[in-house]
Amino acid sequence: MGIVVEMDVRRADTVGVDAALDEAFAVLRAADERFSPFRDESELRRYERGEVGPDEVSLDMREVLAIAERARADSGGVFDVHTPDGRLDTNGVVKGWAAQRAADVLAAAGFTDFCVNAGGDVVVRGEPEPGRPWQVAVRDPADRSAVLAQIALRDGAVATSGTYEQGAHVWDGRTGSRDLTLVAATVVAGDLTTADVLATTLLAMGAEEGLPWVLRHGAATAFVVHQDGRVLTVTAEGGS
Amino acid sequence: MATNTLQRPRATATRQTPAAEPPDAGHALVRVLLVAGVLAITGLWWIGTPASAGSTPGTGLLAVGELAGLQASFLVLGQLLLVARVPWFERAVGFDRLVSWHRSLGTTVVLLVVGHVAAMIGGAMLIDHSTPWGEVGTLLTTTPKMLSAIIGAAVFLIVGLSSARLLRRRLSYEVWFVIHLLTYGGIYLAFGHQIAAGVHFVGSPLARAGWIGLYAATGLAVVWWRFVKPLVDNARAGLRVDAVRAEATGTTSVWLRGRNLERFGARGGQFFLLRFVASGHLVTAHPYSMSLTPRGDRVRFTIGTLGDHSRAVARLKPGTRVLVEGPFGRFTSDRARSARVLLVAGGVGIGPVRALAEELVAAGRHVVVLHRAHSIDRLALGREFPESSLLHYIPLTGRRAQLGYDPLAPTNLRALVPDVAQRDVFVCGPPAMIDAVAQTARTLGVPRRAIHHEELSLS
Amino acid sequence: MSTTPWRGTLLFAGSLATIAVAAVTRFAGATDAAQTGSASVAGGSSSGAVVAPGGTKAAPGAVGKAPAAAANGAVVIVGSTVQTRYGPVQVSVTFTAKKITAVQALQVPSGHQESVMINNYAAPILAQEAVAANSAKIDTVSGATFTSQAYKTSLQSAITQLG
Repeated sequence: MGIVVEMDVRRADTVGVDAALDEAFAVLRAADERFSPFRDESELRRYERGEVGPDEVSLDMREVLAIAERARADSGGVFDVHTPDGRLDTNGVVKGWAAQRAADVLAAAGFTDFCVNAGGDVVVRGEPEPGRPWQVAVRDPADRSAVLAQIALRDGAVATSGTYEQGAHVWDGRTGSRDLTLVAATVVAGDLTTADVLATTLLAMGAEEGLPWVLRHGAATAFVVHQDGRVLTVTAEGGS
Repeated sequence: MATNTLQRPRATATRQTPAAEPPDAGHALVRVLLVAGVLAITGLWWIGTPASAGSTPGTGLLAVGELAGLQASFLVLGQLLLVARVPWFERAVGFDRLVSWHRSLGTTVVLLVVGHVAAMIGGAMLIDHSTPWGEVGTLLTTTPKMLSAIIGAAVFLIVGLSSARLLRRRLSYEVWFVIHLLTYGGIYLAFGHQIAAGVHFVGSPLARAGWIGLYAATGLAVVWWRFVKPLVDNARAGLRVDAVRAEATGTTSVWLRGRNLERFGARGGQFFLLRFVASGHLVTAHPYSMSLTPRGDRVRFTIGTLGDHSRAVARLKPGTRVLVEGPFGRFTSDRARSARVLLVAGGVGIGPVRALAEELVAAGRHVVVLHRAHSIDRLALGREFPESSLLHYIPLTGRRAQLGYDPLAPTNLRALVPDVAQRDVFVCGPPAMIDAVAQTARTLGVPRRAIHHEELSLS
Repeated sequence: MSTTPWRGTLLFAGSLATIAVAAVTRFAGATDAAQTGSASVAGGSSSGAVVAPGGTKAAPGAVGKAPAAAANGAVVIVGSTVQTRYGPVQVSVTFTAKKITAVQALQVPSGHQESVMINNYAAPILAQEAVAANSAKIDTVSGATFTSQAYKTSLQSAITQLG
């Protein structure tokens, strides 16, 4: 996949952290092997080719497909892991799901202050330093080194979906179109699986329909960057 | 029958033909295009590279490596086009100069490729704090199309080394040519990683489309002018050997017969690449100059029988099929701006000189031909220069050692052709002779742009 | 061939010169960002471990202060603690814009009390400035998925290297 994953654990003793990090990375690697559309022998590809039946899939595959199906129903078909070309592509949900699992591993090992960043999708717990929240910057779609917004966050997740790195890899499941009005969508939610699915859906839905929609489905805050450069944001109640 | 006494030229007409179009506009334009392209590609890099890339040595090295890669992969397109036998380039720059530029650019391209690979690995090493070998492993597993890119780079290196003066000398033309063909493979292998992983293309559909378009256009140009058109032209012309005639010691003429030969638009002084369809000849195409431009359905080439291949040509049977490419060369009569012309031929250079003389005289210019040869029996085609008010033929035979002087030394040349400073001078023959005569002409006051010569080299 | 013997090398030197000039002028403004204490390591296909200074765990749920407004001009701050179906999420968003030309709050006709604000932002500040300003030190960057090739020149990578 070539996705870079960073894990930043604070205030931890050495021994425990090594083992926990190894396990967390193992979770990610296992997910890559299972869900990669680029590996011919991944479970995803074999499921796609019919070599593995719906009853024979692994628990993880079942879980991800269930999340995807629920998202499809909730979004009226906009979110769909079936591509317009008839292939199966779970990248809109798997990255967040896998990274959240990795974070859960760290939490189960007893760590309360960490940050996991999987290729731009972020989940944080606790505080980096006592007294201040994690500062998650969101990069500007137009400039790799510029910051569009900064999110101060404790115990939450930030996912960004955009077309400015990999091109048109997100589609509207209803129409099959990859022609989107937004170049980027960022969602802040309680967990990264939700945030990832919501961000992908928001990008495909567009601002008018998508922004209110994500709030109704678990987003704490969301914002989008339109093709013409406008930035629109919504926040759930509790905002100032 | 020619004698070797010196003769004085006759009185000349004083007409002045209008000056021909300056040939250097084409040169300049091609050079400008190449430079403009490099600047444009640097601009693309500029736009896609943030200033912060320079904040750490690792990212800085990567950014520089990307620019080197961009320049190399653009210049390689220029190289391909230069030798794709595109008619516009031929007319603007000329075959010999195109080959020379291609060779010079080659050094830059190969070195830039090497630099690109080193910088990308080095920069990534600095960022990941890894070893070179480990970094290569990471690149191979994480970056798309990296394996083919590395193979492509290796191909470039091999081709570059084989063409470097040191190695080139030790390789036969055929072996060198086969290695050189690998370049197409190298370019193809490297292209994938440029659009799949190149940061300046991944994020910008416009840049990607432009790049693909550039490569596609170059590919099409190469396929058309280098492969398809020559095949079509040959099928139409259906050239075969008509006759082989010994002209003089060490010189043979080959007559070819075909259909609609005027379609080639060949002019006096130009050459073709001839490939005879016979065993031992098919592998190589040789550049041979016409000694008679196409008339009716026949054309004549006069060649010197020095090398093995040329000697073998003398044994060709009539009816042998011939594949030709051309015409090439800017050693043509339209380069002459003056109404008076001096043609200097050494050895087999008499062939193109013969064709040129005919055209120049037909255009009303006064022509003096100096034919330099080791001995009388080597004066090929001497009978074909009938003396007239517009044509004066002067044979100069004998080796310098035996004569005790150089017939083409400045004093002697001035005595032979007193008005040389008002003439356009065309020289064709061995490289040493060309250099000497050109030097002499400069000394005698001939302006540089009035001296024309052409060397034949395919590699 | 009667051309300048070293023309090939001269051309290469010329291209090197172009590259050098381009690099120097492009990177002219880059400065190293301020360094602070925490350490983090990237793991791609290899795993990485991280050890932060100190040995004791801080008590979670420390009091969160509202982040200070960034020192550079108008900013928009959105939200404090919001309820999601997974529990409370402490979030606030600062839009880092040099200039906000218009801010509008719209009523979204859906019955919920969402507030939609439309921002026309001019140029976002460079990350370097944000990091150097220290009032809002960036810990990590969220963005569209980048390949590891793009990662190397990304802001995230710079933060990891320098932070």
